[in-house]
Amino acid sequence: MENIVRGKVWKREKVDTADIISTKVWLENLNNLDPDILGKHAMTPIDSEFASKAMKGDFSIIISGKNFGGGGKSFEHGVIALKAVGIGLVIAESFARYNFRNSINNGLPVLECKGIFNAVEAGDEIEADLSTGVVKNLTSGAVLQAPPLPEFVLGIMKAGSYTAYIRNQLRQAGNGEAHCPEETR
Amino acid sequence: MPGMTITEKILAKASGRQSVRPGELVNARVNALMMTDLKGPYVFKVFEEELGASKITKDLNVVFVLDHLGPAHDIKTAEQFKACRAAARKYALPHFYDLGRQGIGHQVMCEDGFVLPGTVVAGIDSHSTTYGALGAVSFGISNSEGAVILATGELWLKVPETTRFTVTGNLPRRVSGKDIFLHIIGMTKWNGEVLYKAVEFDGPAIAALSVSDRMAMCNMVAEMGAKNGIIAPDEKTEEYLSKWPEKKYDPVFSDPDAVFSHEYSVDVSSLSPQVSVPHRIDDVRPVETVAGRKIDQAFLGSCTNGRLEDLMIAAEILRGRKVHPDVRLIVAPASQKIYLEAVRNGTFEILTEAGAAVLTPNCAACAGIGSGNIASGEVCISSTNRNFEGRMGAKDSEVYLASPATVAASAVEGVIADPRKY
Repeated sequence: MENIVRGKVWKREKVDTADIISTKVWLENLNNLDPDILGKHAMTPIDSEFASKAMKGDFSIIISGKNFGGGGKSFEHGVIALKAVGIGLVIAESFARYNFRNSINNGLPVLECKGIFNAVEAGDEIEADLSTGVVKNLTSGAVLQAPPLPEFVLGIMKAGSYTAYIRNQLRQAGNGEAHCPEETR
Repeated sequence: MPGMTITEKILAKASGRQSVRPGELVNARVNALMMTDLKGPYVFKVFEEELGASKITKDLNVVFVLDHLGPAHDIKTAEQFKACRAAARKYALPHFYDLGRQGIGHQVMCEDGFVLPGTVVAGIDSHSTTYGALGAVSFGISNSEGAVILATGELWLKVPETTRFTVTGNLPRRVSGKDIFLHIIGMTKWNGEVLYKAVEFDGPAIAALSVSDRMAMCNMVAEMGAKNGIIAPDEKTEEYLSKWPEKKYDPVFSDPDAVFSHEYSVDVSSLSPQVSVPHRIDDVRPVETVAGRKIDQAFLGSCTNGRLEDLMIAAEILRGRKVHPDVRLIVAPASQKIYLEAVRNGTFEILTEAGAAVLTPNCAACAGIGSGNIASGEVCISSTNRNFEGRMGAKDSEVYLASPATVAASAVEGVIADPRKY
């Protein structure tokens, strides 16, 4: 059941890229994606206790509203920071494009789930099955359906990153080219 | 089962599926990949070091251009070009556009036949949305995603919802596709109806637009925060692609019962030329309300509006006139092919006589990293696609975005001017 993610919730309706990691920290670490450094600054612009609480295990799932990670550029610092403090899943009404792609490419599962924001409170316990898209609020009993993550995306999560996943595929193929299994195409 | 939009159909086909629904993640075959001098060497670094790859997948058109930095003006740029050339040579890339046959990547992708209707095309640059003008699904991606495409010819994609803009009315004289787009972004702002979605342009006013103007519109959907912009192929698309009779493609159209997340109707029959004022792309006003603003520079070029018909409209306005003495007009055609045509048909003679400085094709002033930067306090009216703070140079300089006609009229008057007078 490795595709099941379970954890407590941190919730905020509007979260921009500059909230996940401040522009100042990003600029100071332009070419440095050190998780230890970036993790300390996760969400500090909107929640100064986020990193310490997440690392203590108070929560590991982020619930948000529309356009999570908006206003961003293609930089990946925010995703690295969230992973570093133990965030294992982000569920939002919708995602900004760079943030959505960066999350999956860096092995952080994301589910786009209509109605999630009002169905969950901070501190609730959530169980999400990435392979079916079923999101259960264990605290309230509410059940929601998100588009599931297909096999190849689960493969990326398992490998830890898109490039690591493709590297494995290439190695299995013997060299130059890789193709995803037919059923996932 | 409801019908699909053109974007959904193309993504279904590229991922070997009968149908797809918005929100689904698919692994799609990519037909062509564009990369530039800014990113190229890093893409190959990821390709080799992170993917451990050694050969580029078959059946992928890889187009590699030197477009952002122009002829090297310093040693750092020269070294970057050297690294680009080394990579192109190492992988024996057949479509490497070095200086002398160069063009802006988005332009050469379309004008050299690498974009076919019904296909998925990616570029390592935000304005790769341009190719949607020919009925392809196209978008910008990162270095590492580009490396994945090089190695596999595939990329994971989210099927976006589609927002459709149906554009009607006869476009008034001296009003262009650029003006339609600026009007639309001014109307919708950066909102949830377009963010990370496909934007489909449709309707009689779009059918009446040239492929060049359609490219300007799809180019700029990147500025709306959309995933891709797309216009269904028609006779104009066919004619544009008729240069390559050997290239076969299946045109794809939205089903009559396709589901759109939002639909807008836009009547352009009384549209004024539009100007996006500093420093927000979606702060758009009719030209008459900003006319008279003094300018220091006018820039005509870029992947948005550096095509032959853009240069010819400017020449029409500048014929027999002079660029205002307090203004410099910089012109950068989008490709060598356009340059040659503009030389042959007299466009550059007119522009040069009027006092324009014509550059070799590249992104030039647009991104603030080529030729034509502006100093503190200076104001530029530009045919390009971005006007955020410092985009074209000094942090406190200002960029007004407008059509080629408005840029040319303003260059004559030394202030932002209404091109309908000319």
